[in-house]
Amino acid sequence: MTEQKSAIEKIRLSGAAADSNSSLDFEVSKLDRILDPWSDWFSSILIKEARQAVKSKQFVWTYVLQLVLVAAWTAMGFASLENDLGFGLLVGYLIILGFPLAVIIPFSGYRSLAREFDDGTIRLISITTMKPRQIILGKLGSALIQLVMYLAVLAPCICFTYLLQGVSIGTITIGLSVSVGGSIFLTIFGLFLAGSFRSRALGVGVSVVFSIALGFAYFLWILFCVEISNSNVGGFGSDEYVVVTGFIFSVGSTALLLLAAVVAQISFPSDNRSTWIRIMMLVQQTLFLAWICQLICLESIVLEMPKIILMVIGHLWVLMGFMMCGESSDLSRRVRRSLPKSLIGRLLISLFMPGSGRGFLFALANVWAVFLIVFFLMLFEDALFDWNAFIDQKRGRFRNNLFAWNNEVSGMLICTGFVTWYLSLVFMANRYLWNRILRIIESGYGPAISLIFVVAIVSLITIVALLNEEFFVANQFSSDLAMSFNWYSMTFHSVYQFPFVFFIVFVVQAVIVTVFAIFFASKDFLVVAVETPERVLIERRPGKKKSLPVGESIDEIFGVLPAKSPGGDDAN
Amino acid sequence: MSQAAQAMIQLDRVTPAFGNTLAVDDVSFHVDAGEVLGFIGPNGAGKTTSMRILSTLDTPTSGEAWVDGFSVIDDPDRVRKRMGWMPDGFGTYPNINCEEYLDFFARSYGLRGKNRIRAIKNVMGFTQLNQLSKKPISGLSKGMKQRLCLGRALIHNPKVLILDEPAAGLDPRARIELREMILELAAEGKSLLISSHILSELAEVCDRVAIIEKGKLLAIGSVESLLQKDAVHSDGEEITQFEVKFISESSEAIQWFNSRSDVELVSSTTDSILFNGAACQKKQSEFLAELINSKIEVYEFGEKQTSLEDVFLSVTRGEVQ
Repeated sequence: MTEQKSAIEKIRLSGAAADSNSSLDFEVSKLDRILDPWSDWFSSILIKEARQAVKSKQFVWTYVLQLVLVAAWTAMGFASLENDLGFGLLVGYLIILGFPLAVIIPFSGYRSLAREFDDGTIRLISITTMKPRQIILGKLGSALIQLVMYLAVLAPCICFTYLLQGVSIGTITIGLSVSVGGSIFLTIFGLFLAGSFRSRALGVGVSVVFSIALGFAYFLWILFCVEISNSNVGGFGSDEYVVVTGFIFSVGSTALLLLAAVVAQISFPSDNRSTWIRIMMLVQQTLFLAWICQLICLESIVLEMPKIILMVIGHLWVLMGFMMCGESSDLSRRVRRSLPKSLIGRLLISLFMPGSGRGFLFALANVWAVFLIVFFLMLFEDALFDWNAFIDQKRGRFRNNLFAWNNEVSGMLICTGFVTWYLSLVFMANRYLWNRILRIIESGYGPAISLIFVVAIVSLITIVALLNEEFFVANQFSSDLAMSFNWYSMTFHSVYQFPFVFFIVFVVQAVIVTVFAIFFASKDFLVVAVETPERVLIERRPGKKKSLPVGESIDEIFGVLPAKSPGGDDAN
Repeated sequence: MSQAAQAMIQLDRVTPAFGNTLAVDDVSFHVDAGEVLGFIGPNGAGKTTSMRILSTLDTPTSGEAWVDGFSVIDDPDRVRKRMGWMPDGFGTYPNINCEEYLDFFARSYGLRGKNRIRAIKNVMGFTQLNQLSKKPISGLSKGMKQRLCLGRALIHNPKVLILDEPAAGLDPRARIELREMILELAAEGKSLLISSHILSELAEVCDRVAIIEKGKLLAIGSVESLLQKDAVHSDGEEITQFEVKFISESSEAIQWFNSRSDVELVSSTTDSILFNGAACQKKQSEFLAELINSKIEVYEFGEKQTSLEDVFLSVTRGEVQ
């Protein structure tokens, strides 16, 4: 062994002879040395991708192109625009800014994650101590850095348009907010797509579709920029205010949901991948209801509004519920040992835990909660918004107009009933068809199969409805059939036209199927906790240093790892 | 689990299934601290699947696996702190050099400040990548990439190293250096699980070897014990394999061998014969004397040295899933 080792040493030394004069010397510049300690505060992915971006030709070319376009537009604007110079320049700047923000950054974000899957580097990152959340936020963070750099070019120019007058701070704020918010949303959507379609073959198709969609988003951005210059931005309570807050709430909450979904997609199988998604679903619903409450405060409840609220929420929970019904029912030991030890604690948290039964009950609880909230809003409108009663002389009209009130409540009930029925059906099918016979749930395709299954059912019902013109009058479905779920139109018309349909669909089918589904799902409700292994408890004991992965100190770590630098400067 | 508490790596009846295919079928083994276990088997035998489970990339359908007493299913985060994995393929990033690559993974493992810089320095020193620190990864040779990959796996100083085909595609010099690094790491108390197709390499660095085929563990033990297992025992007498070489053609010798009942002819060429005979030295001596007395011109007689390749070939059937 000794002879062999000495031979190897010879090989090493001869191999390194050419470079033996150079010792390991980290040639960090002064700036790097100053910045390096600060970099520990940032995500490793952020730092790596920033380094890569600075060296990438795509970033450099886009950046230079943006500078050239800004300079050209400024010169052209001063030469050709006489009236509304400020507005004209602002629109041009926003359109120039829109391209990197709406196309380049989201697509870079998408490719950044997709490339990790293509090259297999996601495996290397996954086995580090980084959490999936850190990986995704790192990717998003690097997109934000690019965004800031692009914005930095335009910021002085946009400020300059304000100095030229004719442009309000509100217009500039809305323009920048929508562009930045839209860019972040599209980037998150790109990350979600990359996490969802991981195979190389699918990835090519998704890349094409996503780039077309981004092109369309940029086209919409141009329209928005043109429109923003023609309209006056209203203040609190105006139509623009309501639309903008609705846009922010819906886009913001959807972005959070997508972010939770993509984090779940790259999480370890035994991790809890559902709770954060469910929390985000709840946040989305809460924001929607908050927006509705704001609308009621401003405009009071108008006819059809309760039904529409239930339809939007119903649509949301049908989609989300189908996905949740496709989850595997088993809770991993890792999740179960994180549960509260008390029975009450576990009951309270149960619906947020992964599993088809719990997901089904979670969706059901939410959709019925919305029904009750809207119902009580209608019932106590005056009491809740008393100050509003002074403005709106039509207060209490729902209670005064018994027919309208009954119609709204019946419509809401039918809508909620349809959602309950669909969810129950899919849950039962998932639990007792796919899970038992095909074992698809275990393969991870449960949610997708669930979605296909329900689309098939809805399509079948739609076809039956179309064919049976005696039962379903054709003109009632003329416009609504464009929607995939014909229960919208049935909800609207069945109360007036078909009390029989109401009875059959809601009372018989929904109640029977739902009672069965709830009975079977309730078996999942009580989650059982398990003890934490002794080995883990030992490591968790106070006094253990957490900053370093293995040894007690870095010297100890590398005290056993001798360096082989010829200069010997690495030896401990 | 009691064994798992002592072993650094422990697989207990692990069975991951992909559809109807059992990639690994009820496999159990362990690796102690400071031990090097070679994992050999034909392509598609289930080596990489087992390693992926230990590396917390996949989960088994049934069974359990532990690293340093932590379950790879229930405590992947703790396992990752203790485990370094070197995959068979090398994933690179564009526009990044060796130092930045290691820096990225050092940060990803939670190393901060001076500790991070020192860790990178030490790993680059150990893997002899000092002179290439500023070189883009895309410009590295296969051997250098393997070193960098090993450096990445070592950056957080794990107790357990899982190396999947580390020597594949390396030139002789790089292979010798890699072997030397593996021996040094084992001497430092790290546990290593190494898969390789180059069996002679494994025989030199491994304390024990596990042979797997079609997802089933066929044999496990020290190289010596596996070689001994290859010897045939009959009627309580140990029998071993001998090779005899002749000056002239061996047709006459073959007749002589066939006429004897105490030996079994295994194979023959024009000038040599392979046969099974009694392992006892006295009997060997008598047999050789008889052979020479029968006027057959022998110039070499000896026990055939069994290699890991022979063991592998005798244990496996060359079947893939």
